[in-house]
Amino acid sequence: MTYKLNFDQDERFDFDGNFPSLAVLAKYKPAMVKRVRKSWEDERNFLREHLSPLVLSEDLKHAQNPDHISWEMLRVAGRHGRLSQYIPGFMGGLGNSLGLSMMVNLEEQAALDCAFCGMMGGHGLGLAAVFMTFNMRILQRVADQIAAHQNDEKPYVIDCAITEPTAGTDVEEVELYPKARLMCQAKRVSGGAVLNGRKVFISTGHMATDHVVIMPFDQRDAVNTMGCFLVSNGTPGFSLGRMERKMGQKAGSASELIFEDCLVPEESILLAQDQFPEEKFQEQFRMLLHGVLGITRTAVGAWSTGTARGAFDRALYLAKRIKHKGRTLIHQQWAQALLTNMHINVMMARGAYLESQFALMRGFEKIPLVTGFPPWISDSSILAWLFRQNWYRKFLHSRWMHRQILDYARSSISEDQDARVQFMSSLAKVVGSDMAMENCQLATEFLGQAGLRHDQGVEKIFRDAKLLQIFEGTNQLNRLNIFTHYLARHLSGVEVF
Amino acid sequence: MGSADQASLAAFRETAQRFAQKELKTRAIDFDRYPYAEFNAGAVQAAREVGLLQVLLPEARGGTGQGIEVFSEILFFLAQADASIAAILLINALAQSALLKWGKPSLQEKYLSAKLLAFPVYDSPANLPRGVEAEKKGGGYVLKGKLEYLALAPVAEAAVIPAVLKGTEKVAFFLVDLTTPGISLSAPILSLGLRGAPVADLEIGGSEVSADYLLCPDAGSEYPGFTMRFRPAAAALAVGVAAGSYETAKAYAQERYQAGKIIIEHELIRLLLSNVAVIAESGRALFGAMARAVDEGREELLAETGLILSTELASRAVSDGVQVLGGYGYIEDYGQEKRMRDAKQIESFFGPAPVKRLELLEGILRREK
Ligand SMILES: Cc1cc2nc3c(=O)[nH]c(=O)nc-3n(C[C@H](O)[C@H](O)[C@H](O)COP(=O)(O)OP(=O)(O)OC[C@H]3O[C@@H](n4cnc5c(N)ncnc54)[C@H](O)[C@@H]3O)c2cc1C
Repeated sequence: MTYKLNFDQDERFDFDGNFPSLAVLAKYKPAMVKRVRKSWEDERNFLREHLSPLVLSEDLKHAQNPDHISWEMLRVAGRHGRLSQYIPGFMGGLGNSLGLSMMVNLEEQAALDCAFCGMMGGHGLGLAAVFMTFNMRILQRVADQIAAHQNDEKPYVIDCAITEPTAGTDVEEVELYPKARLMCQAKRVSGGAVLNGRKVFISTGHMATDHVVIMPFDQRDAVNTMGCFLVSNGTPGFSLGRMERKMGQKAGSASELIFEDCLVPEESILLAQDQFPEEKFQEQFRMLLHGVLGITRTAVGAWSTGTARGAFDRALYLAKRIKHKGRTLIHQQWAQALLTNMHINVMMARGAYLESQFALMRGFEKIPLVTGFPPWISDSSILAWLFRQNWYRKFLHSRWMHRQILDYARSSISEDQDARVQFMSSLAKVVGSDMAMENCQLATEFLGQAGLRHDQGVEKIFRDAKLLQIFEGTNQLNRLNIFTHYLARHLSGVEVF
Repeated sequence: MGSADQASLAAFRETAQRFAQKELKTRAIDFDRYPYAEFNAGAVQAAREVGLLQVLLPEARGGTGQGIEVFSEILFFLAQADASIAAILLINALAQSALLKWGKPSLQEKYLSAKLLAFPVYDSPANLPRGVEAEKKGGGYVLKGKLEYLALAPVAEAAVIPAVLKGTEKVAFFLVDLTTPGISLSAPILSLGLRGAPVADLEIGGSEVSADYLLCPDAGSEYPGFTMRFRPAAAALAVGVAAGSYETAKAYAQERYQAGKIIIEHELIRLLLSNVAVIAESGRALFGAMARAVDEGREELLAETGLILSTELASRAVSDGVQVLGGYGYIEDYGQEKRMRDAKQIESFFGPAPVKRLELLEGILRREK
């Protein structure tokens, strides 16, 4: 079955018309917006030329063989530098998708293939977690590995393991940790830590070479004893369990990770509370989780917007070809109104993720690893040279420097800013994923049989989209999170969790 | 046909429940991998043996001559376990009934005992596809063209297909034997849901059929009314899927702990469950009333509106049935994601959902004139 994803109507997508806020921003920050736009154009070209032929064929392979792993898709991403999209240029990455670009480009990726975002999402979540530990040594190690293996048969990627079989929602929210039934626990030993337990649903698990794993040293006091580890394939005591058979999102695996007395050496501990026992670092884990969720929930908002757009794009494409009562759908009033509703949903979702991204850029203003570097920094060849020098690495990677960065990051985010980032990112995630699912429902209803058959690509988005309402905190949890950080903060005596 | 007596309703309900338990429940998820796993021919054969495949046929044709109320009740119970098998019964029954209504006795003799019959259940009745043309030749017809998305085609022996009668604007129904030279089928199509009720595109390249195979010369005007009888059954299918989703979600919510409580103690979970319960429970009464109305030959409006209500609500509610299970709803193990796909597929029986709404009003206005 050959099916080339269509872009004929996509040509009508113009940057200024669809991103009015960026057009305004361009007046004040011309260099930044110019760069965002350029990166966006590059991303579109990459997606059309290299990814689009794989979208449906890979999905079909999974239907034929549920144990299939989409290495081909990962290779395409690797060959075109996409695995280091979030790594700044001076650290050896492509760095085209940091900050605002991350979101705008994610929308583009998802408009073509929601499941590609899922595959890249596990890796992205892992990188976000590494960023938020501010462990520059391991970040550089990961960056070097990505660069060294991006043309391999099996390119280097990472994942991020938080969820446990008995604790899903409970580990998505700092306030819920004390109530969680955790089964994973780390133990201090000389030279490192020993991990035990199981993690489930870990995106990209069966593709990853290294795994970012979050588990506490004491289950009863998880928040204050949290550890974050980088576990490599082949480490004794670490194994991959089952690969889940999912409704959609087939390109990436959802994997079980098993730890049985798995020894992680000191140099692979990203962050452990006992490394920074001072009082002021007590809240370190909260900052890590909030930072990761702030970025990734905004990202899911953008990814969902793309998904909603993907459903809309395909519905529009088919509406120009399917006839009802002898007339093409596009000429009929009911179809025009239905397509308009879908477009409205896309625009609402986009507004939500952009606002959330702006909240993030404001809240994490002083942390460019999160908000994006100005071009003169990210493209600086002097900086790139510096980052390759052993003496500089030694300095940057020292425990002393790690402490300085953590301290700086900690003190640069105010409580108000943090709360704003939390509720805005939850909002982007909820609005986006609800709009994505709604557009998939509408497209399927609208198109009838064309919406149901695999070769038209609509039913695939329907299956892919449902995940968006479930992971990164279910939409129920995210609603409560918005209430917590937007309303409950200002109402004394109101408890949420 | 009058409404069913309580005794036969109860007897068939029990048969259906037992059948669902024994034949469907355990392997529904495996068979859902069709076309990349085998077709569940065993369940179809078993359904034939216990009479479920012939419920609507008169005794003279080897059936039990039941009405739609009994049939709907059966589909409701089967659909809780595996909607694909329930859908096969419905699609096949549509073709059987078309043959009974419009076919010559000799044709009925030959094909009512056929393995399975294919039927264009996803097309909207008032807008039948015009891709196949029938040209009169000698004592018969030459059929030529394409018909997309024909339900049960990959596993059927014969099919009821719409074709434009050349020289007229009319769409007729023909019965075609799928072994007729010149007929070819695409590979089975991978669909969103009801994967165990296979679908394929049909191409017919100048096949000659005798005039006996012309079932209904004006399906364009007769077929919409014909489908009214089957709308309660399609509603029962959707409601059955919702009921399966509801039971599974409720049971899960009573076992899963999160935030230190069994999750059914969280009000948000109760609200999600109530979304599914509303259609699962009231839908039962609705399709029963719809079925009795058509069995008693009363007005069609309830059948038409009831189908819209139950399929649209069911297809949205089962998404909440997935949501209750969180990540575990998104994987195949609990059957919830399959139900979400199946309900959405069922919603397009007799055409896309918004088209069914447009046709509703068209019919109402036509009747008022
Ligand atoms: C394909 C896929 C990929 C994933 N990728 C990753 C990954 O890369 N890394 C990772 O760590 N995790 C990953 N996850 C896990 C995901 O984050 C969890 O599934 C999600 O957080 C929900 O947890 P759960 O599945 O345990 O559901 P549960 O927490 O058991 O929730 C079940 C239901 O209860 C509700 N609920 C729970 N608590 C409350 C409460 N306090 N109040 C009201 N309602 C409540 C939920 O909203 C939900 O409806 C992935 C999951 C999937 C399916």
